[in-house]
Amino acid sequence: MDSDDLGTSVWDDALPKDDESKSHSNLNTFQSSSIGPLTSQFSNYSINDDPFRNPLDYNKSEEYDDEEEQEEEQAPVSGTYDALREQEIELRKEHKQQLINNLTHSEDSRDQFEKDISKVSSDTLFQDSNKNSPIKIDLNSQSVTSPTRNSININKFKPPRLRKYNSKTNVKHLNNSNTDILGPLGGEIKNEDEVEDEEDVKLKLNHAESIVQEANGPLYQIKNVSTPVHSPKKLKVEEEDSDPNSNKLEISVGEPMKVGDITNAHIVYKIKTRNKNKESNFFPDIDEVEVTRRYKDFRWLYKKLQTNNPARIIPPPPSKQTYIGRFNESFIENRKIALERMLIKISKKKHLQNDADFVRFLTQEEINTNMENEIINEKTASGFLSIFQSKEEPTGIFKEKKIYITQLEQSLKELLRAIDQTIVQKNLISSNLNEIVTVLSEISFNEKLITGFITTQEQIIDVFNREILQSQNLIMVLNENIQILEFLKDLIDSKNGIDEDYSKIIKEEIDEFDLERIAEFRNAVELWLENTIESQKEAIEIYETFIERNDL
Amino acid sequence: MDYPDDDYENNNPFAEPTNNINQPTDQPVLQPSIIEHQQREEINNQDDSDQLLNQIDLKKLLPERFTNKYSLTVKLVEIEKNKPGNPILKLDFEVKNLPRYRQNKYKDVRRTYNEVVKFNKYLTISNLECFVPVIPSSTTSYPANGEDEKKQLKNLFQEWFNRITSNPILIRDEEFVYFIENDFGYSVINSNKKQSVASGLMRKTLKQFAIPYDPYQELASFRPIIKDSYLNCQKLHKLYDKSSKIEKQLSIHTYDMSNKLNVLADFETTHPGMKNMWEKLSKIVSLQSDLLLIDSINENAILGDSFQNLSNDFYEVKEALTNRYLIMRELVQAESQTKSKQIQANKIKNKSSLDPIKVDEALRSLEYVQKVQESLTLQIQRISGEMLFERKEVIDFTEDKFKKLIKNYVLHKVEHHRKILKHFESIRLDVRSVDSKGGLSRLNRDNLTNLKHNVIQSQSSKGDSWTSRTFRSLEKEEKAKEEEKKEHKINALQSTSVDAKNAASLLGVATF
Repeated sequence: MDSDDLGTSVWDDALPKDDESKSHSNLNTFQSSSIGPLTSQFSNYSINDDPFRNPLDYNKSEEYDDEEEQEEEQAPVSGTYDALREQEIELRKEHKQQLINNLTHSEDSRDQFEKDISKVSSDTLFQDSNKNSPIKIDLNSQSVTSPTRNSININKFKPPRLRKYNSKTNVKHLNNSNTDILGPLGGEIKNEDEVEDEEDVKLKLNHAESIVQEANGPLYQIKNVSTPVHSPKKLKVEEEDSDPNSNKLEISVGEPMKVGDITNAHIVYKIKTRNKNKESNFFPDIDEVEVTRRYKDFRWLYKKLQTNNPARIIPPPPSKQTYIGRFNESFIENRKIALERMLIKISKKKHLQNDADFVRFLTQEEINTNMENEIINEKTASGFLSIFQSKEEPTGIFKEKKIYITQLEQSLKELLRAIDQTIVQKNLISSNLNEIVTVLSEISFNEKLITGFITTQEQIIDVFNREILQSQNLIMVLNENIQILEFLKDLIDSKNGIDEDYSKIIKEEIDEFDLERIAEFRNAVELWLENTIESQKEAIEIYETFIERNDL
Repeated sequence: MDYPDDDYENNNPFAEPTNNINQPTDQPVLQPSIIEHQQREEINNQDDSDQLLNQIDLKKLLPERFTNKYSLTVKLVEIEKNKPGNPILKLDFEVKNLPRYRQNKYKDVRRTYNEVVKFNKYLTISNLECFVPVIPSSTTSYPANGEDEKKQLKNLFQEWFNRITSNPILIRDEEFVYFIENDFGYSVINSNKKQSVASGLMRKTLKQFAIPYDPYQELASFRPIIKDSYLNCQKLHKLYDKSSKIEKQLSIHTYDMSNKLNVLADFETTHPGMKNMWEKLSKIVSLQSDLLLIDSINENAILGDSFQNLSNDFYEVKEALTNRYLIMRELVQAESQTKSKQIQANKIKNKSSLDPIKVDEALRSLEYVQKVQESLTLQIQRISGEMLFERKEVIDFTEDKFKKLIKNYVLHKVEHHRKILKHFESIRLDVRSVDSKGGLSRLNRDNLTNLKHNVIQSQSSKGDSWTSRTFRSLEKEEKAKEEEKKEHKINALQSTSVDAKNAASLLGVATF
């Protein structure tokens, strides 16, 4: 993780929060350079872009930093020319974005990433050395005038531009991120100019970091790679309009420990959070923070987030388990993984990552998670649902959606039950095979052969147990999706009587969920499939070697 | 049994050169272990030497073991359907030099399984010196009346007949004549021959007593081994039975899972790629469920049933060894009786006045007791001698059996896993092509637009892709089978007598 630290420190140096001019000037280089080095293929695009940009950078830098639409207002005379070029740039951007998406989500090797980091950082250094150059003064003088204009422009022009992509969901995302969601929590709205810059810079970081996270993370995390992105178009919009104050966190849940006496024994988990974006307004300026939490606290967080973010899908914690067997090693391990998934997913959701309670949950050792004090509804449906008690039959699109969701939930539940059953049987087979091995070891004929055979059976037990463990991932994904579907069902049930905004959000969330679901299931199934294939190979290998060695 | 003279290398510096001199030329050499045993015992335990058998004694006691003149071969021609659990065995017999038989060959002798079981029980009771193998159960874990069951039973029964007829003592049992020559059905003719050793409660009580001193180290240590093996095989039988049941359950649940996947595919209306994935997955999972069922049956049929048969076998061996101890205890009693009679006789001899009636009676009873002791001594010597032979046979048979079982089991497992592997690999592409990103398989690859990477079947004809090992058990087996067939064909071509089957196979082969 050295490379990570290197990356962040460089950025911290290069981009002090309040230095508009610096971040501003950095941006230009990043738009061309940081995309370029990702792969040699893209150097073509960035080079092609440069001739357009570079001469203009010094004259009208803001226009190009922000959306190109601004030019229409600023220079109506050159309207046609600008419009043409704007289209061209748009196209290119789009293409570039697609390629980046492909790239970043195909998980570049670590080497690749490190190369990127080094290139990026060298650019910054270069930029730093030019601090005192006359160019900087130019930029400064220009940027002094820019803020007001920019803020107006963005409000005016962003929505129409977004419509190009014909995606309702994303329009809503934008609206919410600018107004609704950040409203109470976001506090002061930052200078738009700076916001834009930071965002772009962060985007690059996001990519790089996500790659490292994926490369270093455990296997199950892999699915997160492609979940957020389904269609490149959608991602692009999200990236460009993402909240500039978003946190960049690296969360890991570990060291499950049994604490307490017999009456209140429970497991606590250590949550380590590394802050990758110290400029975030919503996250304390610390490198790393560690808190201890128990399962109950995760449920508290879930409910809190539901109340704070009505109608949003909150990544659910693993379901409650029976009292017996809760200190079972594999159960704790699975729960640990599921809890980590939950936190990571929350931290990747635009609407949730800056939630004050979420941040509190990650950073403050002492929080009052007592349900009674917080007055949280015990119902699984969010607190906001209880405000609208109407449970009428949904109509229109929601009626269709509800049927679809109910059916999907039902079939997923049944599938989960079937898989659970197979795992129960597999565990029985495994323990039975263990007994067989014990008895076999007492047989006093053919000792050499029997010993060899016992070894194979022991190896087979290992393979078998690993297979059981590996199917836990699929089960986890199924569980999560079932919980989300249940939540959606409740949402739709109580949708009537809710104002339009909420139904929009619900629709948007359902659509988003459907896309995520496909990627998640595909990855879970593929992982399961590949694991099964590998364990078959292992089993064949064990037996074949045994036959060959004993010359049977 | 077939060690030629030279194979046995006598390294014992104390060995007496006379050991092999009296070997009849046409006979197989004594088991090395017996000679070894003899030598060791003779040298180390001078005290025991009078109780132990030497070569000449053995020849006197067990003439059957020292001749090749007599033989009986049985060929199980067919198993015919009958009432469940009681199939009819169609047998061919070939008798060589055995007395009392009217013919040399008997064809198509039909005996029901239950008749054979009765015969088996009779043999066990009347041949105390032998470890009489127990006929395997007529039911297997394979589906009833199926092809697999028939094959398995035929092998097992043939193996049992071979073991019976390879025993020189058993084939001389006069009951064998009746068993073969009876025209319609068979029931034990010598049924009045009852078990000559204690049975029932008496036996149970006697078993509680300490074992009498056993001069034969091998036999003394053999019983605990057999007893443990008996118990272990019983446990294994139960465990494999359980395992098979669980696996059957697993197969059912896997099938359920396949159904549920299919249902899921039906609801997947929005994304054709996903629909395809669920459908394919459902198909593969249902195939896997079938394979699991087959595997569960195979596992139980190969290992479970065999452990059951083995444990039955071990039980009889154990009982035979117990019988020996019971007879030995009788001998001990007879010896003490002889002693007391001897003392009594001496007392009378020393008396001043001799009562002729009393003297007569004392002498007679002494004589009688001495005769009993003598006959028991001989019986025990014969039993011990034969058991030394048969102990080796049992060990050889068991080891061979274990080897065969494990091999068979492992081969089936390899086949099972290879099939599953093949099926699962066949849907890789369907999972990858759900969307254009290609999923996890693209891990660490920059611009891999080709989704078809790495989807080649790993078990190509060139060997398994994941290993450098070239060996493949199943291929080896097939080759061995083919070679066997070829040899068979050559034999068939060479054979002078052309029966209907040979003719058919000859006509079937193009000879141009």
